[in-house]
Amino acid sequence: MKSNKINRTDWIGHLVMNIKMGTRLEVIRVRVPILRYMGITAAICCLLLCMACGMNNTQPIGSPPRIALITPAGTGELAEAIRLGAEAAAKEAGAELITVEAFPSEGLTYAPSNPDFTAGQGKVKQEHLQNGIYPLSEREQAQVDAVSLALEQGAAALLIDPLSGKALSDIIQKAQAKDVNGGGFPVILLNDEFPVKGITSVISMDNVDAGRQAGQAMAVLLGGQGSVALLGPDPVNPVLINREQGVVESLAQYPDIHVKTQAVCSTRDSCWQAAKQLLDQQQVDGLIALQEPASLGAADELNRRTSENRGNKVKIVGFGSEQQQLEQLQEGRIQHLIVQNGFSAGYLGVNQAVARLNNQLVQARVTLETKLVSTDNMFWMDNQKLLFPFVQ
Amino acid sequence: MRALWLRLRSRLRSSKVSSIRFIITWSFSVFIVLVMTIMAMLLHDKFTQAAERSAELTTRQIVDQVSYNLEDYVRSMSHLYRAIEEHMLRDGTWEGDQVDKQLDTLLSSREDIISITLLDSTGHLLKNRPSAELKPSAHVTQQGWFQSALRVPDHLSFSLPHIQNMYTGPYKWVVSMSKGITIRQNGQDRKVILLVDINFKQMDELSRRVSLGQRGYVYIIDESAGNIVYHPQQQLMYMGLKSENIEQALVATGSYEDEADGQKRLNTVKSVANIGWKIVGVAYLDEIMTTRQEVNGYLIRVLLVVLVLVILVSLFLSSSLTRPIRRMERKMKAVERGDFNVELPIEGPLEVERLSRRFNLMVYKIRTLMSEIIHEQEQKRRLELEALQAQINPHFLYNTLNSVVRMVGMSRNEEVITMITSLSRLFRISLSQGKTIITVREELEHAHHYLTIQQMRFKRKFDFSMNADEDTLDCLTLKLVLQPLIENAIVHGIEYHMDEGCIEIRVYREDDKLVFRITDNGVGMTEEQMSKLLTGSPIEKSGAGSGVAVRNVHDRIQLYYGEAYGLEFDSELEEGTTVWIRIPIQGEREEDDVHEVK
Repeated sequence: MKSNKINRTDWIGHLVMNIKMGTRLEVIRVRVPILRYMGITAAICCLLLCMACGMNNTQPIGSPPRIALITPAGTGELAEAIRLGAEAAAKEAGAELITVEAFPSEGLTYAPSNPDFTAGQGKVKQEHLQNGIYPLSEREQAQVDAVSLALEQGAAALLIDPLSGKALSDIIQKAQAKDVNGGGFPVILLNDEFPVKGITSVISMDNVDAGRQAGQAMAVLLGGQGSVALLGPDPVNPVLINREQGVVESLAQYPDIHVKTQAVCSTRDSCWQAAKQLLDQQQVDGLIALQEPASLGAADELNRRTSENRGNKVKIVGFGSEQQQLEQLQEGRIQHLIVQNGFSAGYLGVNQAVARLNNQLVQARVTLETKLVSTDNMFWMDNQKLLFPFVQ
Repeated sequence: MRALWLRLRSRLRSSKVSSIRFIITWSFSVFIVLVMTIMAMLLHDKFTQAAERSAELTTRQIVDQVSYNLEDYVRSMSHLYRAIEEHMLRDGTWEGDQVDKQLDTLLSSREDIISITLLDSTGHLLKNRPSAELKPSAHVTQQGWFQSALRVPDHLSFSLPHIQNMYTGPYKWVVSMSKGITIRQNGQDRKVILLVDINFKQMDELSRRVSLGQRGYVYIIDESAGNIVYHPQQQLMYMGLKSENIEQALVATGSYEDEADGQKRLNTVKSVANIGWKIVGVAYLDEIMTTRQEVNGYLIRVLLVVLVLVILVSLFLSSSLTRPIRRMERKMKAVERGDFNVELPIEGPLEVERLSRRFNLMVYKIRTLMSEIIHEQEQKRRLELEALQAQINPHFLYNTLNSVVRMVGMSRNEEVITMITSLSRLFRISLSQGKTIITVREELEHAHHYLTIQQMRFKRKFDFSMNADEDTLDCLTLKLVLQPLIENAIVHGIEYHMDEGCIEIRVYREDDKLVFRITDNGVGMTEEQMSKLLTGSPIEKSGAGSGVAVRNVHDRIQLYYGEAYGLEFDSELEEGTTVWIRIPIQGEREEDDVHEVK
């Protein structure tokens, strides 16, 4: 009983003390739920964030890479074949292909950039300007501008057949400056080779080998003896230099074949003149036309001579597969054409670009096969498909 | 192991993990997510199967459509051929301006007919529309359509697409319809060949426009030889960059799967009647799989959203469920700290409501008890104070001192000494160093001194005797319980009594109780007086302080020892009064108690 009583007093004493402390505890207690709710909110935020991330991951892998083909504008079946090839590859690889014309389409008669239908780069003469052919510097600038436009449109890779080494240098500079990552956008060269640094890949035929084929074909045509003239070489263009080298190499194996003259020309007209002069001045058994205008010009001259009944014994081996060349080939005025596949060039070019964008192995050089087509085999089914790729 | 488990469990128990809120939230979430996942898996299977089946079906339908279109086109072309043949060569001739006009009209109205040519069996041109010269380099007799017309006369044959090279002009891809016919000319039978070249463009477009997924395509092969009639990537095939499994396509009917460049493809084959071609539709399986991925992505997104929703809902649910409990906890904590003025609102779930009600009741009871205790304590202190005050009654002191003075005047020094000594002893015991509890011995001594003083004051008007059992002397008792009763006996019992009074005090044990019995032979009390003694208000105070003091004693005893103890009176008028004081027997107090009371 007594101890009971004492405990009670004791307790009350504690009560008094604790009541004083009550107010301070109250403050702390109020804070706790606030902290908890803050924690919950944070957790929910985290979750939502995760969810957002998850959504990003589950979405298809961004937009397809955009690859720009800087077309030499409008004309030329080779250019068209390149475009179709690039389109096919882009479709297959799930990439987006944009084509940027380097030149206004009104300038239809400008000389195409490819040596097979080019108007002799670096040697555009004044008189051609009157025919609507733009001076090289302007065309170079247009090409560089087209590259700028393509980059502005978000191209991640460039496929281009450059006009000159200088234009290519400018283009590569632009492509490298534009890339924020510093690596530089891949620049892929089609049907051309320039000793310029910074090219991702070159897709072109082996021009030396093509020259050899041409020389070999000519040697067979001439039966191993005669005199051969080269039409349309160019001391500046590495493509034509290589072809010339190949021709000379292969003909050197035939002691009875003399490589006589070289007539430098760049357009159908000038080549015609050159061929005429050549044939008038000396005895020539075979003409190897290193580029398309040259073969056309040579064929024109032979045509004229045939119609004048001045005898047509001269054989022509040319490069290219433009329609007029094919007509000449069918008519037998041109005996052989060294043909390359533009479709493959475009196709492989896009493939290389996609490989580079996906950080896969890229071949620095892709060599395209060439084919020697003659009057006799041009309508073989396989050759039809090569020579006439478009359904019109 | 077991120890580890136990430790883990206690850790869990002490952390938030074992809170109702946590349990509800997570068990809810885990359960629903589990169910959702199972559902998603089942649905995913179903979805992807359906998607694949529909992709296959779509491919087949597209191929069927292409085939139908081609067949239709070929049929219309053969009708056209028959019309040309029948109308133009009705008389076995193909002469006259009328016929030329009709053919020109036909050619200008039909873009897809490139040329109509009539040749003799040696390949010489008889007539053609539009009229043009044959190229000498065309080598007509070597062409496939010419040979098949010669080989199977009177049967319309369709050639494979080829380049038309007979006339000058752009090289066009054509399909040649040719047939060897025998006509009568100038009364003679003559074998001729009628050739109609139709532009391949129409068929090319029919096939090119077909898209099976993003990369899928159709190609057409020649059923007899397996030549490729149309392929969107003919160029690549020619360059050896691509190949089709033509052998398989030739023998296959329906669908089959193959692999090209490491990618699985679904091939759907359909023959085109009349022309002997076969259409093969190629769809890439990974594109169909894209549907699977999309379904996956969608389901994952749905799962995530549901998860978030479930967590939100269960958080809300659990917090709303546990909120009253947590509130209750808070209130209980407040009680723990000593705040009894809390009250839980009667709301929330039924259980919580009941608990709240109980809790409120409990707190109310505690509160009542608390206030009772506080009241008791206050009363005790007050009563003790009163007892002390009563003890230091100025009347008593004054009378006593007066008696002392009187005795000094009468030179009764012996008695003076006794009186003063008794007084001092009386006060010493009264004060007892502030102790509330003293021994029976001390209490008796106190009473003895008081009686001695009173005896002297009342000139031996009464006599007294004290008698205590030996074993009671060391028992403990509440201080100053005897004195008020003795005073009462003297003042009310003996003072007005004629005879010599006699007060007898006896202390003894009665069962487990200690009993003080005070008996006097005074005037006694009526029943009414007696009952008033203990029921009268203790606060009400009469002049002499009598009666209240008795009540005070009773209250104090009951406060200290409980209701079972207290005073008991027995009185008879003119006979005297007996008072029993009953308290529990308690031995020598313990040390700490002494300490506490200080």
